[in-house]
Amino acid sequence: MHRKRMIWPMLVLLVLILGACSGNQPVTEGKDSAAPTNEPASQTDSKIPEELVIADQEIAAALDPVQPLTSSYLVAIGAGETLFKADPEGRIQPVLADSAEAVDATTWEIRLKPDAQFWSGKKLDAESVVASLERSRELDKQITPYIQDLTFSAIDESTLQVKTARANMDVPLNLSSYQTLIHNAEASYDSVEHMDLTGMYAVTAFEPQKRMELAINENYWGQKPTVPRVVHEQISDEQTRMLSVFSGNSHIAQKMPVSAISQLQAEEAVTLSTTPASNTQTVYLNLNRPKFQDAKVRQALAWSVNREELIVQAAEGQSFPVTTWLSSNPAFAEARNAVYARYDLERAGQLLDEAGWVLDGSGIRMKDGEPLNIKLMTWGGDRALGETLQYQWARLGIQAEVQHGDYSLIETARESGEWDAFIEAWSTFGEPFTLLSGQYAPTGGGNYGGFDDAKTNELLQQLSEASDEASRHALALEVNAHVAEQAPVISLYPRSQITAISRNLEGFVDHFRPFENLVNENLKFVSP
Amino acid sequence: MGRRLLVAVLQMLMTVFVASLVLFALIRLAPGDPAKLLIGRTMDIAWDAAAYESTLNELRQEMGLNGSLFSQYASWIGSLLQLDLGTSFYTDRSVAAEIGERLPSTFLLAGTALIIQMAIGLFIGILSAVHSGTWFDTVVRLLCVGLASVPGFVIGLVLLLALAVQMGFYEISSQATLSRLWLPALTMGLLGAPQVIRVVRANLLGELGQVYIQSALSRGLSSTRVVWHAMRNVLLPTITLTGLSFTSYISGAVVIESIFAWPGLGEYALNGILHKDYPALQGYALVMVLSVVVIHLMVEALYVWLDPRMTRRKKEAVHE
Repeated sequence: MHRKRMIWPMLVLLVLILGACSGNQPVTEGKDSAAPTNEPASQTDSKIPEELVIADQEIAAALDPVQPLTSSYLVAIGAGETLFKADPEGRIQPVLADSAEAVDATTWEIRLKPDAQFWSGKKLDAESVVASLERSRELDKQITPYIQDLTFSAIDESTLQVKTARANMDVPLNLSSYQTLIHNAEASYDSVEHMDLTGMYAVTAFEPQKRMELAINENYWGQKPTVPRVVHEQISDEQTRMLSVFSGNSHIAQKMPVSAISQLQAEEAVTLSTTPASNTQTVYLNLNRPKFQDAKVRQALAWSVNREELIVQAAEGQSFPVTTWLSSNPAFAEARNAVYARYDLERAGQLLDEAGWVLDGSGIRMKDGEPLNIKLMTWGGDRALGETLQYQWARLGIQAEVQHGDYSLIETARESGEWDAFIEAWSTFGEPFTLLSGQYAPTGGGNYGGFDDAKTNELLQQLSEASDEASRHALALEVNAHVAEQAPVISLYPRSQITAISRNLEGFVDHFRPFENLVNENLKFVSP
Repeated sequence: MGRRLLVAVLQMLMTVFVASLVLFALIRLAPGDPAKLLIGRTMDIAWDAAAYESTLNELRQEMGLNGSLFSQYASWIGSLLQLDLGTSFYTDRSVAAEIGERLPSTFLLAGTALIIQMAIGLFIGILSAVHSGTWFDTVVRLLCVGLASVPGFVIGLVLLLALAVQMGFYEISSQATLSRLWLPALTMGLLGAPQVIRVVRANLLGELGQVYIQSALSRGLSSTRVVWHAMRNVLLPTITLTGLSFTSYISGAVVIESIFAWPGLGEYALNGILHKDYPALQGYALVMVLSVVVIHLMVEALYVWLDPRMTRRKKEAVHE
């Protein structure tokens, strides 16, 4: 009896604590927020949602488009727009621009959409576009490679003139990057009330790195969307993002891990978008290492890679092989198998024999008493890729070791020069000369291995001087193939962007740049 | 009393100073350059090397990273003395404001988790000690070992799968609402409860074996009253554990906050690490050190208040 007297108050206390925790009052609220709630799936099945919830690994940390990556998120969720945009086939299409014309080799004229305007209702004219781009030039370091060679001026109210420092630059392509988002430079970006962009959705509430809420921009100049509200939420953990879509709390979950594909495929309420992005998973080799100075060794490594097997083992089959770097860009798809068209272990062995790396009794390639070994550095989700390569190179008698860790370890190794190889995936979408010179010119920021080849440099020079699109395309393909033959890097496959989408959401468009093409005006909910 | 308070505050300041030195050094020693991260990494266009170096240098200058480590530390301490935790590299916002926004969520989660931990721990711990050697005690011990050996993220994900996906009881979002508090708090409380159960059980068993307990029972006192008296002596180690648990909940809830998308300081620290945001990390670490020191001070004060013998023992030791 006495014991019961002690137990019951404690039980009541526990129930009270748990009961108090199940209230429904927000601790933090967004500014001017309509405070929409996410009802569990069981309650929403019978009605069409009014709100599109997107769960992402990260969302904007600020409202100002010049802050790092903010413009990317604003473009992705339909709040911000650029002058041009790449369509799913890789063609550049006008958005805020109406048309673009190359007047001569170094001058472009861009006409703006006559009815385009900011959220505030202010007309989008050439002066405001110039002011926006100049503000980004001044405050956003990431925009530099896209506009450092461009000078902007307004010819008249609706026409923008762009002068280029180099002849034959593809200005619309450069102005399609999210960093060139057009914003009202006169507005301040310290609160949702003050910011002023042009997109179909306007921000109504914002908590940095937590949640952004948007509603249809009533002043939108184009086709208005049908879903009234959008919520962009930061859910860092990838498993939780997946569960969020499964539970119906989110309708789109971005950046899902490759390892989750089979789970996502098995879930009836979810469809899967696994679009290969315009980047190439690439093994960069340190050409300052004596063993990699011999092109035959590098070529042997390239021939011994079974890309089909890599894709199955490391990407759950959600990609396609590319043997040249540029070919993950849809515009250069014809070069996917231009070099190393097949897996050829025998040829790889012959090349190593010719280079003096011969098999010893234990199956290891040796030269001058030294084994052929490679320390391959990987980061992020590339551990399985590294380990599969390790296994494949072991078939050739190469001792490969995978070192998986934070990207900063790769940076540190690059700075010290103490590295053999690492895996990286640079974007292959952009102006071919800028991309290829960035990777293979001696001064290229992405030329980590120190590749310096006379023929490549000559071809790059020709590419920079080519005046018409057809010759630029042909030269880019030539550089791309020549570099692949020399194998300072080994191209593998495009990294897939995996997105989980609720089955009751229609209109999602697969795009090779999904990170900036998430929300479109045709998205709509349908009855399950 | 005043002298003791002054000594305690001085000790606290010394701890914070040494911690600031160590934290500053550790954060800077970690590989990686925040300026490079800000300029952009993958998914971006490759720069011309000269333009890249020039922009990088400019950015490092703006971020105050070009000076010596000593001057960077002196600058940070100078700002701290003006109660300024600096400006985040990544968000360009005041670190103090950002921490201020997230601190209540973290304290709310930690506090609730602590209440759940103590409620479960005391309740089960007492029952386990009273029913020592029975099947109940055996089951509790097995459960304690099980809970202590399963990683927090596993329990968190299993609970999310069951309660959010299967039953629809729980909303997965990024908001710090009371309706979302109970599950991460319950997870943390469940993970911490075995410690309390073990401490309460072991100490209570020790007390129940004392002569004064046997004497009280032989005089006809009810077992509930006897346990109540014995619990007074079990309280001291439990309070120590409470303090330790609370500090670990505040500073170490990174995994649970990440899994439940709870926007607290753990998630803030995680973002800071990902972006190599030195001011954010330094600010977070300093606030954590201060919290730990203050909580430990409070636990010590509570100890003295609950057990005046401690003050007398100290005085006697001084006189000897």
